[in-house]
Amino acid sequence: MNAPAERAAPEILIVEDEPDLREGLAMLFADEGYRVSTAGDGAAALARLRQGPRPSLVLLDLMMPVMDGWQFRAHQLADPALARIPVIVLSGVVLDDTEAGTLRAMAYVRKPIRIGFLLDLLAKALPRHDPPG
Amino acid sequence: VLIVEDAPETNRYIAAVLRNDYRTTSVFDGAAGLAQAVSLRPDLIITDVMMPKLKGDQLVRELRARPETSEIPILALSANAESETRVKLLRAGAQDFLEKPFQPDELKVRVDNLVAMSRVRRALQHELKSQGQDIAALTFQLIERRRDVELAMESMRIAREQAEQASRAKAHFLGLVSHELRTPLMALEIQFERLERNLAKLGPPGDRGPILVRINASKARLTDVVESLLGYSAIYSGRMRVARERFQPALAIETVLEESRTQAEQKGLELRRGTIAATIIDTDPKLFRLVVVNLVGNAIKYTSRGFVEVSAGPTSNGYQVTVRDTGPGIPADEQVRIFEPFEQLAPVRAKRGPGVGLGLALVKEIAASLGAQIRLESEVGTGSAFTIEFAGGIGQQ
Repeated sequence: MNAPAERAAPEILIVEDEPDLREGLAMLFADEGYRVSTAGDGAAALARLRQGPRPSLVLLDLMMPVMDGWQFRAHQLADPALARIPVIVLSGVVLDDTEAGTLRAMAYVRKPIRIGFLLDLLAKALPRHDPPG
Repeated sequence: VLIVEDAPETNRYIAAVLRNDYRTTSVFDGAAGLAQAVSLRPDLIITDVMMPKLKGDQLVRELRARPETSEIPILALSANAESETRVKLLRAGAQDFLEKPFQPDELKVRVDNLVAMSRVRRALQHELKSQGQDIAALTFQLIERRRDVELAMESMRIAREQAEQASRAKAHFLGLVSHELRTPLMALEIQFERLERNLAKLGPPGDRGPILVRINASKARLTDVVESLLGYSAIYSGRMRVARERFQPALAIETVLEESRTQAEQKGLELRRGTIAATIIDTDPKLFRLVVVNLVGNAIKYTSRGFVEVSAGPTSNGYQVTVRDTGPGIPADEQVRIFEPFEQLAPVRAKRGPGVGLGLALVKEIAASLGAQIRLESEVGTGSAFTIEFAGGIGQQ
């Protein structure tokens, strides 16, 4: 969108209601050189998507108050301006094929999160990112 | 016994067969049979079918129609063995049927049975009458007893429901607690990962290395306990779901061995790596890990000297993991019970202190949901070997 966006590190929007996890993941990703924004529920995440610059990827928890991950995803997919932002789902429950089908996520990461695995996934999904020098 | 038979020699023959055990009266036509039956009230009537004056089936109907003879058992005799005849007689009210010519033994046995039945019936009727003329009182008593029985059954049902509810509540509570533990644990994991990565940038770990290894092993153990409880709770509440993936079981086993090493060394046990064949299997990796973690953890927990050895490899229809220990061994009569939740062998518990005792129960339940087979070989004083065979082997890698 903006000229400097091409050179800036990719931004990840973390949507997670547990502050410890949300902030922890934010710090971890920042250490890895990503730009990070956060939201505590689906509604806040939607608001964030609609007002600010678009992140390169959304990391989405499913069980959240106010608006859960399913509802968030339905709203996001219904909005042509936001539908194409890829989503990685973080979930404590195993999803069956139908459930996974409705979410149409790029990947599903089970809790407890294997951090190495998650970071590898992000690196593959966001190939242009430059680690801080 | 009243014998109604028009052929004199047959009549005498029957009487002769029964003479030792019964008093017999012989008549030679149906009409006389009916008259004698009404006046004598015998224990049993044996009647021919083809007779003058009153045929056998008519006689049976007449006897059944009169209240004083309606309950006397009847044994019909006929040379005509067609099923139509039999059905007609039995329908008219005869209890039994014997085909002519007959064996005396068979006649004797059939007569004995019918008379015995008739006597029991009379005795019961007599008993009923002597219990008091008032049938209503008896009925009332019966209703009372039935109510008692129903009450007892209802109490039992409630007690069982309460027990099941308590069990469900326990599983639910464990699930809730574990869920609450999961978040801070994951937060801890993330921060530990950051710490490790930050320290790695500073150069070789030096003295910090072993500290980090120990923290990591404890953290992994804690996570495994929480995940085991969550798994147990999910299975118990029917929420267990299996997510199959292709993965390398050997890597998962190596990780578990690495994380369990400290625990084994603290007890002076050798944690041996047996032959672990590399391959790819198709099963739930998280559940696979929980099985291996619990089998290894259990072996370390109950073994006080010697070693714990893990080996694994493909089988004809899957992949199996064996965990062998030099622990106390499990007596044959305990080998089923140890797979029950919260069961531990009593003396072991006394010696080792508390533990949730959930490991093997969880392994059993996970095996069931994955369609895996568990085998246990154990000898008291020598050790045990738990083997779990997963279906879904893909092939050598």
